[in-house]
Amino acid sequence: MKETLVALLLAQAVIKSTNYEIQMPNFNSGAGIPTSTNYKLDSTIGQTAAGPFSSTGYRVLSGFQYIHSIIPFSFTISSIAIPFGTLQPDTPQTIAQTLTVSAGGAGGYQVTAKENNPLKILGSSPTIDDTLCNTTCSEITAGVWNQTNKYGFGFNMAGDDIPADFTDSTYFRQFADVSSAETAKVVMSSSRVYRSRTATVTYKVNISSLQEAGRYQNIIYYTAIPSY
Amino acid sequence: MKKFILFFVVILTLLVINCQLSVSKAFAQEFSLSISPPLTQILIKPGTKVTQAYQLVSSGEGGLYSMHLFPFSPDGINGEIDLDETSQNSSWFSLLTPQITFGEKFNIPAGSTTTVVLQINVPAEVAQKDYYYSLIFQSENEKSLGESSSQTRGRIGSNLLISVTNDENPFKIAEIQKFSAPLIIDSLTKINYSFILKNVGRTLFKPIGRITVNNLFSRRKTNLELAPQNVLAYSERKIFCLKEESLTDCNLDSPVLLGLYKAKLDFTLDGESKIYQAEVVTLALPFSLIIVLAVICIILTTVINKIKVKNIVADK
Repeated sequence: MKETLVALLLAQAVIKSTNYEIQMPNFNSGAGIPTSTNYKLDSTIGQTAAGPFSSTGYRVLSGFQYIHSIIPFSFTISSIAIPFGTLQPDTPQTIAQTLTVSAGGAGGYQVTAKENNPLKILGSSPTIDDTLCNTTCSEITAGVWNQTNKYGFGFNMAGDDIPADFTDSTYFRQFADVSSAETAKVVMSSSRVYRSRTATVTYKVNISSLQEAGRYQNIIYYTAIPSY
Repeated sequence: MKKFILFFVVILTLLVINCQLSVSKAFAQEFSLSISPPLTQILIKPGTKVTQAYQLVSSGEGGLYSMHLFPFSPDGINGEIDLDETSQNSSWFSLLTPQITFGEKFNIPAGSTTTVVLQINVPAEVAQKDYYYSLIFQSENEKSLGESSSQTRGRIGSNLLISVTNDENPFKIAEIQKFSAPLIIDSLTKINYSFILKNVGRTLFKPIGRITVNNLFSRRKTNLELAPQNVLAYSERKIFCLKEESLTDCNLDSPVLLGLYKAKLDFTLDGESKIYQAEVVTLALPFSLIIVLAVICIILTTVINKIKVKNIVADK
């Protein structure tokens, strides 16, 4: 048993430099805590054991010491395009999309969102401004948006690990607008280790009869990052 | 006739299947990417070079991606990060596989596994402290639509914690920012211990230790193992407890019995010799039991009094 474990560890040692070495670059490549009567390896498989390097006397600590499962950190967005169709004045359009995060191999996670700019006609100035909801809302705080004479572009969230201000399906926020020097805001987060967490983003656009006709577009960026 | 009907059914089925496949292709183009490892922690001396491999698995549509490396700082007490996308520091880093530069597009086929090798070359003259980065993989796919629309770009990251030091055991120092529990609780509720640890030094560490809860009456002892979570330089972090592989709140789970509970926090930084300690005491009293007994007593007294009054009236 001991020999097998040593062989497994050596087989993974692939990355070296003259002064330095990282063993087993891929984390979470095994499952369980291997033990025998004479030997116990209480660390993530694929994780370099803590301790001095024979070559330099320096150490590398890597991975999450408390997670032994083989679950990579993964992120899925159900669709890369959100078509709003032909926009009609005072007729809100809503489209849903799902975000799924598997953070089983990481100690928690966060997903942030931002837009490159409000919906606008490419190469032209007309924009559909980010919504102010019925009264007020921002990229940080959601507000109720259910009146058909309130215009703009925003999003609602429902599901796992979403911000608490999305009280129900009538609450909307603006996306953080990079063109206005706003920074990405967290839309999903958890400090726990989960296998699969899903949230639904519902995009909403509503225009007035004064809105110039055209093809309005923008890009929304979702960034999923594990915890440290 | 039967053959004709069978032929018709088969053709119809094939048409339906084909139609469904076309629909999923047209409307369900998704982003799905996995990354391993999610975290890399390196202790390295200035003037040293090292490489690290990452594995990307694409489960969604294939297409173009780009890589970016941004510095980050800890944000909040739950391990959140604040990416600084304005100041890329690419001079330390280069890509060996694929041989491209940061920001350059490369192809990841659908359903494929791609290995990316990052080289980290720490300059000799760099300040000895911690440096934190996120390696970000960004989808560059676009779907052209002839109508108003938003395009979404998925991005997935992996964190890189680099401690640059000439010393194998860099100086680490912590402050117990908070170790608390309710002073008095009901005997039927759990005791929740809250522990926030502050790193006041320039090198990250993990707390290694436990909370030992001792009932001073029954002498019963319970150990709550601390999760070895990274506390980054000059930041605070809420430390959870560990149950198997799950991060859990530090709770005394079993129903608390009447008595005085003394919780002792004991930990070291990465197993070093200095031991940090703190204590809190909680008094568990059977409030709910007393209330139930009081209600029963009141009801019984009322009933007895009513019976007595009835008997007196009957005697008269």
